Amino acid sequence: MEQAGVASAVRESFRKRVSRASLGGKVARVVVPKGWGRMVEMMGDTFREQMPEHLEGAVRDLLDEGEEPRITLSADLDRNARFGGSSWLIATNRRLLILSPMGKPSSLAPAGESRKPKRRRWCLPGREALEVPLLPPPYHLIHVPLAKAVEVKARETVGGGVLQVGFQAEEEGAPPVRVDLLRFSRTHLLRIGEAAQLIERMRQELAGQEKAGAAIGNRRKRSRARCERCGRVLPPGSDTCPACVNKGKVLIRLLGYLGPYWKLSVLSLLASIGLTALALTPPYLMRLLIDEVLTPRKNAHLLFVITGILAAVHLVRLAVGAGRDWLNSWLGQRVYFDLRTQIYRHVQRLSMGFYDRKQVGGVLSRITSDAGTLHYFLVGSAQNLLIHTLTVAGIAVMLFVMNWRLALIVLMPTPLLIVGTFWFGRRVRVVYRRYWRLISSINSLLVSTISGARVVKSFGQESREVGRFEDRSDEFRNTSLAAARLSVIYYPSMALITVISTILIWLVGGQQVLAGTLSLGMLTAFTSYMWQFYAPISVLCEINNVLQQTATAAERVFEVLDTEPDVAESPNAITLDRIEGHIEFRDVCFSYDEAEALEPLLKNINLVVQPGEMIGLVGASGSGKTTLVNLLLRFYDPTSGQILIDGHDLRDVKLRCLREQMAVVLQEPYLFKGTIAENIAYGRPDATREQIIEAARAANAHDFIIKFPDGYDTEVGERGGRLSGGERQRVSIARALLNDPRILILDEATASVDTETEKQIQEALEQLMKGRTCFAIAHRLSTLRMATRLVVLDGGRIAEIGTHEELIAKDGIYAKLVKIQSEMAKSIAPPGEVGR
Amino acid sequence: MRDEGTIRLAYDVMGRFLLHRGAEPPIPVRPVRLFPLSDPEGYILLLDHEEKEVTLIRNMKELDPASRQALRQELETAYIVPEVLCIESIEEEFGVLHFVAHTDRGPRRFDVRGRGEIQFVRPGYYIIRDIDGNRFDIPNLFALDARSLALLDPYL
Repeated sequence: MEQAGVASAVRESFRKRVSRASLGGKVARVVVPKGWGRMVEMMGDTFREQMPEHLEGAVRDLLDEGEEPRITLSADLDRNARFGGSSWLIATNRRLLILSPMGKPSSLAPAGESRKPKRRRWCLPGREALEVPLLPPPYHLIHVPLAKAVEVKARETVGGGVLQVGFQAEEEGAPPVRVDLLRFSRTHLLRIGEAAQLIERMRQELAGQEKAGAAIGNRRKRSRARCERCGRVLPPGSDTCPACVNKGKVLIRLLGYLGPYWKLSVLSLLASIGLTALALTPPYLMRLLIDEVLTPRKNAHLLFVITGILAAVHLVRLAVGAGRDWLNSWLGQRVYFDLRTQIYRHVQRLSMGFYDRKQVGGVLSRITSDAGTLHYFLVGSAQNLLIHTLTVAGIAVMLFVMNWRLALIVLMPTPLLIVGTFWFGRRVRVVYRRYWRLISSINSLLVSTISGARVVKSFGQESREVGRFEDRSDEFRNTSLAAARLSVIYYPSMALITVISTILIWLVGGQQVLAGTLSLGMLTAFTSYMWQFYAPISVLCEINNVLQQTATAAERVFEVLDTEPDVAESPNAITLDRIEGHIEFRDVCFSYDEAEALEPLLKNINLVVQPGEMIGLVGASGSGKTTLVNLLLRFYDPTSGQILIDGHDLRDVKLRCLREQMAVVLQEPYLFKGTIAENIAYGRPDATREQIIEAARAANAHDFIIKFPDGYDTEVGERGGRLSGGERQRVSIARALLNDPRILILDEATASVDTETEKQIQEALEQLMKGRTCFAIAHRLSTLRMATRLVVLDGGRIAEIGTHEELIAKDGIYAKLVKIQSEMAKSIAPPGEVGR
Repeated sequence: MRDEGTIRLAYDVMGRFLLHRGAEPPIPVRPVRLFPLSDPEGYILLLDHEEKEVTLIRNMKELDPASRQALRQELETAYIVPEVLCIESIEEEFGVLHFVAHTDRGPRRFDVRGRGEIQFVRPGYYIIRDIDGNRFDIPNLFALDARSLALLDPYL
């Protein structure tokens, strides 16, 4: 067998088992010694997990003299990738130890059976089944001397990851012999991934190699998955834990938005209270009318007085109600406007990292949906809560004052109403969620098939599309019917409860009237109050939900408002009036997110660029070219290292001054809805018409612009959709030219246009680049012929750097790329036209 | 050309998954399912250490039994996608679902960030993604026991 030496060492370890007997050893505390390196200390307990006592003792027994554990981590899969007892990764200063429980090998049923889910009639009794601590089984032990390994890395697999160790192959030039040591689910991916990087550094240290790789532990904060306080999972798209939201505090802060309009808010509140009081008057007047006028058939003058008062009460109610509604609408729109504007203004201030963490939909929903929820609460729910509470309390008092026996009958169905409302609410929410999901699914199907009608027809798939639509419509119909069924059960049931109560009131009250202990007027007033009493009950049952939703929406909005930009400007940031264009990347490492913990995107970038130089960035997709220029634009800050501009750290330069003197031309330029002139002058709204025309001429855009009937006033449409790709590109170059940037970034500026247009754009770009420091990214190497130097990125590192001639002479990655592209060009171009 | 009849797959003593083809020296390979949802046992690509395609196995059944067994074992460890057999409980708290379930890889408790993470693949086939990105498959919803089905139904 090849690699005999290494194999024998590993094979021996592979077979070694820690017997059950050896696991009952004494407790040995695993201590990370001081001075081992900043990394482990920086990460605190992240890499030091407490092992069960029996294992800790066993591990201590396994260690040699002077050997110290430095990393102790558990993983959730056994050797056969099954959940069970934890496997353990222990890295000492000399070895890697992997302890895995000796579970049964996975049952590998024949093909047909393996996919067949087992039908079970029962489940394990209660969740306790999962919490029973496993008895220590015999463990399988692998130990690898670090000195024998040539690499240690974690690799992501589908649904998890694997810790791999590579050994030197015996054949010259053969790849390392890689062995999978430990498997884990995605739950442990980041942690073990970072541990693997630390172990690799230890290995390199042992082997006396220069340490490579990104700094660990200095990562930017990513979007959190769990609440830091209570550990609960955070709801989708939110960094706010609903359980930890201090509702009172949040609601008080929310009410602060009414502050500037407090007088009108108080007026609206008083109007609402007045309306509630007025609503209680008509039944009382009816009672007077029946008892004092109609039943005794006397006091005829009172008939006019009471009906007059009744008419006045209704008129006042209508007038005050209309006034209050208008006031609420006015207040609501003001508050809504203030909130939306405040959020939008703040969101514009935030860095690109915020937009990466929050999806576009999430940000939009903060500005529209969440702000809407808050607006609805401030001018609707909050007042309703007060009014309904006052109504219920007021009527209850009235009822008991009038006749306590009948009042008890009125109150009797209240618990049933409350229980029924909760029951219905819970069920109907489930059905309606499904209902809305299906509507959205049908809409998306319609959008895709109607937009793609040409494809559907050309492939003759009309009937299949109709079938798909019918399936979803059928499901939608069933869900709608389920919702209707629930309503059909709920509303009549609730009505029945109140009707029974009414009948009881008439029965008992009628007897009292006949017995002469209750007047007819009183009974009539009673039934009127009763109906007014039941209506707000169901609204009050929902109030907790409303408060919960409002508090969460408010917290989400406040979370955005309280977020400070990642790319913060230092308090002593300086203004560079005219950037010369000297740029230096010093040991720059970067990853967008912790998800890239296993492999940072940029690793140890060192590059010095002189003013006026044009740097061509070359490399495969994903090699880090765009990320590098994103750092230069300070959309993000490096994870470690620094970028200097004219000798100043980018972080010490005012962002506005920096970006005003930089311009970017992208592969897919983004034009805003508006005219061509407005788009060219986007960075300099004060530019004169002459300047705009001059910029367009220099960008080779003038000629096509004048062919439009509306010339420079031509509307470009949404995202510039009315212009062709090449035209959009030239407008964007004119926009960059007008800005007169000191540093220019061209990101695949000519990648998506035809050859003729490319020529025109290339000419425009050459015009643009004169006298400016320029970074140009291009896959088509011919577009980099003006470059002073070329930087070849490979896997996030600078692989080669030099002029075209130097790199060709080096015969490395660049030379290979040039060769491939030349061959491709030869195959499509007539002889003699193939240049570099 | 079909390779299934001429190749052999096996683990070596170091636990590496190797492809043996005729007299050629064995090479370590990594299997990749081309249709992991619709045909998990067919169209399996074998890649070498440089991620280059070595061969395509169109049907696992055409391999000899030992190779088939080894390939299945390698796929099972490379694709950590537990299949939900039975659901013990689902608790909803602020829109987050706490699952306690039994899978073909053992019992598991996981948290799901809302209904949006339960993905419909085709009638009866659902995929649940937990907060850490772990995937749990339900290939045949109707094969679940009645209680599991009742627990899951409101979230589908």
